[in-house]
Amino acid sequence: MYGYEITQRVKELTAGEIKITEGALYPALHKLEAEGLLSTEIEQVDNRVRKYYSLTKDGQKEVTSKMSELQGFVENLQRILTPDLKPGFNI
Amino acid sequence: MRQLTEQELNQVKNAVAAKELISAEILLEVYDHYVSHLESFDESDFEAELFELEQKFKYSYCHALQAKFIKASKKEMFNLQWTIFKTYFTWPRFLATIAFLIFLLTLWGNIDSRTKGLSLILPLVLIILMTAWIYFKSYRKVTKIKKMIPSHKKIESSYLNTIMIQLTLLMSSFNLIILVPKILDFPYFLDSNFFLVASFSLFIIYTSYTLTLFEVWKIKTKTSLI
Repeated sequence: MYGYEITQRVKELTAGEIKITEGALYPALHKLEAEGLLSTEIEQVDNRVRKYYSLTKDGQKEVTSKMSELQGFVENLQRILTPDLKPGFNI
Repeated sequence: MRQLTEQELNQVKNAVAAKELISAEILLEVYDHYVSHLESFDESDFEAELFELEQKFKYSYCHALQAKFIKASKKEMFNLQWTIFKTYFTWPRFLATIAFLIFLLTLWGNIDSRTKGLSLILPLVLIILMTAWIYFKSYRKVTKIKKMIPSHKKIESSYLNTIMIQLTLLMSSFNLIILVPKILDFPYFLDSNFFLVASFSLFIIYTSYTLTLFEVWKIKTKTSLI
């Protein structure tokens, strides 16, 4: 996906609840690229050059790890806020 | 989704060129963002949407983005080179590294000091030739962007800039350690331990740099403007 497409896709998937600003998006993409979590591809599209981003193997591992970290955090929050509720909240 | 008219495209090009960006990667990304966004609106909304984009992509924001990207590209290049360098000490490349070091040590023991100094020029020449090749390839890729967005600034790939800085550092190290004492005519310089250690170390550094740079270029040329 390319930069603009990412902002639109996130908006669409979250019904407009999450809007990624350009100010946050591009620095984050460049940082992840430098860390080897994203790979890029440059293609000619309609008389202009477009940069596509995709997750590398390391990036996919990082997503899995961050998602399970987030899930653990939400489960812990749930335990604190509603101690009677059984754990197993899925994101 | 619609195609922008020639006049609209020119307006976008002027708006992007006014940012005075020098990084080809940032320039192409900002331009693509503008066009992709504007294509999803009707002709009647063009001016208002362009104005909105201009509010988001202010001059200062674009330059901050560019500065961060240049920094990130330096880090990426260095990390890639370092990762590749480390593989020279892992199986099966380790055998080749050992063989090379043995060959080098044997050779170093059998040649006179003047030849040692001269042999340093070989990897340096290779580095310069390789950099010239990378520069040429990058120039051809960036020319397309330069033609697309005419700017009075010198536009080039940020990765190329990083390579050029490293090349300057290598040349400076050669001048500083080998040429300066020679020019100043230090007595017995060529036979000094300093010269022997410096020339051997520099030979290894230059050779490693050439090999790792070539491998990094092979990786990055598929996905970037170098």
